[in-house]
Amino acid sequence: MRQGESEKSSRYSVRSAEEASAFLSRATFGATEESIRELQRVGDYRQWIRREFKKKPSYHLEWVLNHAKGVDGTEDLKNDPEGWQRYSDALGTMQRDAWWDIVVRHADQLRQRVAFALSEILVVSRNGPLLNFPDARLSYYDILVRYAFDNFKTLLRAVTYHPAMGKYLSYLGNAKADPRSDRHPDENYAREVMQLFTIGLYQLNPDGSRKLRRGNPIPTYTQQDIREMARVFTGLSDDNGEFPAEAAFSDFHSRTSAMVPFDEYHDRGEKRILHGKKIIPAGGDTVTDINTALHHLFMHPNVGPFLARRLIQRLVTSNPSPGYIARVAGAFDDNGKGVRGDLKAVIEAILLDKEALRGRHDPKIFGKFREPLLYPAHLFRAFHAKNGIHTLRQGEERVYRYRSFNFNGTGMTRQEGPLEALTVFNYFTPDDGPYSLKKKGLVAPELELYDKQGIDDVIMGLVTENSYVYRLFHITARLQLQREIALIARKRYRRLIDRLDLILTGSRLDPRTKQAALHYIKRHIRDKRMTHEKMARLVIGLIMTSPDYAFQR
Amino acid sequence: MNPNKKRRDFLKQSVAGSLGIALSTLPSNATETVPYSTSDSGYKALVCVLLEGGADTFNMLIPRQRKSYRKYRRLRGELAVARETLLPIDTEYGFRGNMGEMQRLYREKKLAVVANVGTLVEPVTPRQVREGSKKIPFELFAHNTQRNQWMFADATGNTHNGWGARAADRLYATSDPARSYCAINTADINTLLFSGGRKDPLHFTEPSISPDTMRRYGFGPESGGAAFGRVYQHLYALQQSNRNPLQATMARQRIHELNLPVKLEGLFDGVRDFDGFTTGVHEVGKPLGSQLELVAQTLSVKDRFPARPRRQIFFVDHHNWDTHDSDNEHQAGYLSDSLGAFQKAMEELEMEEEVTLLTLSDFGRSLTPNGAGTDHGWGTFAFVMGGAVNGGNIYGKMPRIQRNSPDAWYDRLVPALSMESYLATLLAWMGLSEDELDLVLPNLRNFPTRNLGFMRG
Repeated sequence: MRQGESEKSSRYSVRSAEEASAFLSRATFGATEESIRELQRVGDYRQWIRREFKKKPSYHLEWVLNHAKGVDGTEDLKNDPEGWQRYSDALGTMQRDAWWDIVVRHADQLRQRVAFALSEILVVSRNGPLLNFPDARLSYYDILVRYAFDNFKTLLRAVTYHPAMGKYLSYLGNAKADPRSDRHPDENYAREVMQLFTIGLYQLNPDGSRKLRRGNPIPTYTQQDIREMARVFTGLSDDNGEFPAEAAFSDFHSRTSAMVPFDEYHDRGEKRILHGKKIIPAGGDTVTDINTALHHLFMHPNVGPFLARRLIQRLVTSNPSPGYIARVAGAFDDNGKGVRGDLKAVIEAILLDKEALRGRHDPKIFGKFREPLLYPAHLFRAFHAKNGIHTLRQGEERVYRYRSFNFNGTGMTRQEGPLEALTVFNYFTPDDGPYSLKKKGLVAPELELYDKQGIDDVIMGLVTENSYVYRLFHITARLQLQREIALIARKRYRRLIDRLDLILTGSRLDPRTKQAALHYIKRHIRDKRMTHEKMARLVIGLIMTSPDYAFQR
Repeated sequence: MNPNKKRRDFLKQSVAGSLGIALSTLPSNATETVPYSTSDSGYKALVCVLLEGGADTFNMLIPRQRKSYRKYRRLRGELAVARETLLPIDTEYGFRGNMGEMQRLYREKKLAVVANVGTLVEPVTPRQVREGSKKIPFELFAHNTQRNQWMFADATGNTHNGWGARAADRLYATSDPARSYCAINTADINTLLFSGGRKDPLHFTEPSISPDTMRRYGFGPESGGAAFGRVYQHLYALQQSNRNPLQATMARQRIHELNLPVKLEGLFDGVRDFDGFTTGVHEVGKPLGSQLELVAQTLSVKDRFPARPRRQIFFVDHHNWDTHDSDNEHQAGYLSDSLGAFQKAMEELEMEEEVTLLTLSDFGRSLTPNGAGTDHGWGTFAFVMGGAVNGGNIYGKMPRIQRNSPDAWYDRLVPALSMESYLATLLAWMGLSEDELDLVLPNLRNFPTRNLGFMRG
């Protein structure tokens, strides 16, 4: 018994700094010297995760409200909810500032990393009808933060009732069919909540593979089911007292509070969903019917493997083995205490799986490409970027002032930003990959954002604090490189490279990459105008723009 | 270096080239392609404009006769476009009021309409769809599957590379270096249209080939300059043979991108600028005008490409057509203006006859509204523009804009024409033979019409 206990605890013990660093690349926005040391001190991955579960969540809307201090006569945003509309352009930028500050500097790393992953599954976006409503987007992101460690059913419900989703997928103000006209209820959410948020297109085995009937995949629903489901999502609007969508989003409260039922617009007829097999009986009101439909989706056997594959891909590896998916799906189905949908159990299963932690399924394909946003986040974290005072403008007018990195240009992160996908299909789908890989049955979703030099030019601009970039975009982030500079000054080049290798890649650099970096330092350290600081920056840049770094494993 | 060795390698390569050494990679019933057979040696280009999200074309071209308009109005309710604002193209139909450029082009016979085209496996009627007696495309109405079927030109799910890539592979002999410059993406995202070809597509996002941003942010003097750049490139070269196929693939892609500036150095020197393209208002993603302007600019320097490609296919992506909660008035007007500007640019370049633009979309939309917009449909109208187009005509039978009509399944149009017939008409103009069309469009044989007749010559 005792022996079993100790075996169990050693299963998750932290064996080395390298392994700890690699773990942190999956569970946080990038390892740092301090976070590696802290994880080693805790000594056990599961313990570390459970500590993260208890940390106080950082909310993005609150960040903006607390930081947007008025200048030149503007009221503080906190005291002036009208500011959200008057300065919606500027506050849209501030949403990015909040994201960068929280993911880089705040302690609740696992929660934020999972919330970001969820934001790429349960997608709403700045691109589209939410363009001018940063408060709605921030409030939506906070739903993901709030319920990241809750039950998926609670999360799905909160997402479904959030006005940002209601507006983005156009079921806010969606009325039942009018018998006098040919109008039908909006099918948008009815379709996407099934295809993209819960069960997907085809029936799945627990290991994520498709079930087959006579060699063909079996659809999870038909167009008739969509029509029925569209009738379910009728009767919701935001909490401003009026039903029609045109009247919606009139104030801060209605944009940031759960949608409410207007039962006179709800279709109370019987609906049959999921191949007509699940019946939502006639007579139900808006909330009863929607909750019943969400319950049926939540109970569908696809949800476990569907969500497992997506979350594993976002955090650990693009091509998980069927066994890995099945184990995580199993944790979704039952957290060990008979509870279905416990996201804590799912997250533990993902991060603590033997495939993620050590006995890798197939080291030849294990891992994933870092998406562009993760690069600057890790850079700022690993080198303790300091922020500066930034004045936010709308047009020529100075409106708010606060501390931030002011690194917020989506254009600079290759079209990727928090909640800024072009469509509800996210920046990439779970099945994306170059044809040559797909032929081998492999995917590499993040490569969709790796055109040209990927984000390497931006990283070089940030690492070197390139004067052109910094002046043009008024970036205030300043890296703290004392340790790296000291190692250069003492000619401890190998030591420097080992240190960077550990923090940035979990010591997974190809030895030839390290050799090339060493060679580069020795060859150029005495160049005209070269300084210790500049060399430190160039070596960091060389590693972070290397193909070795691009692939998180 | 031993000069004799170099010469031997060169000989080996050219012998291989002249024998068509890659025959084994072709399907067994194929022979080495002769590029755009002898009679047809001029330059030709296709510009594929994807209306991403599923365009509500039924609110772009609208019946205007009193009786048919009344039916349209009753069906579409609050989404219906006012009759008096329509811009007539004939006695029966008109473009919506802000599509003056497309109306003009239609009247000048430079624009054709293809009626009710879509993804099909075999010809099917609404009644057969209801009965389930014929094969229909898998996963109708889902954005990604339907768009992919259009990009793959196969609604059975058995093809996984783009028709643009397959056509490009057929348009050039295996050994022809010009193949590398055939497929060009000017959108802000990757496209499946060109995936899986012998060569990767070129991807320009601005009329400049040198790694400008890398010089500015990355490899400029502040950032280590050329010496740094050499180490950077060296590291990618090393990983091309990584045992992990993901890492190797990415490294190869990067090396391909890094080598482009070398091969295409100076391509855009002397590029033409054009008036009339606009960036729109609140566009999602890269504006259509900017993309079409880049296509026009690329066409203005077409003779500077290495090996002088004589067939090119461009991909352009216009976002924001998934209008569940709105009419598409803005998108339609912007499309019309952008197409007008593009045709003017072709006139300036005197390339009207050589360049044909076509529209593609995920699907059409529901005929009936959902209260604020429309939902995912199936059959749609498509538009073809250019000097080689038999314009001023509608090809195919215009569908009734009615629920459960002989053209509709509930309120979704069942396509009367296949995407294969539509694309075959264009690819035949590009110079593919009948045999080649069957290879590029695997289901073309299933349909009675191989050429819809909207292209001249």
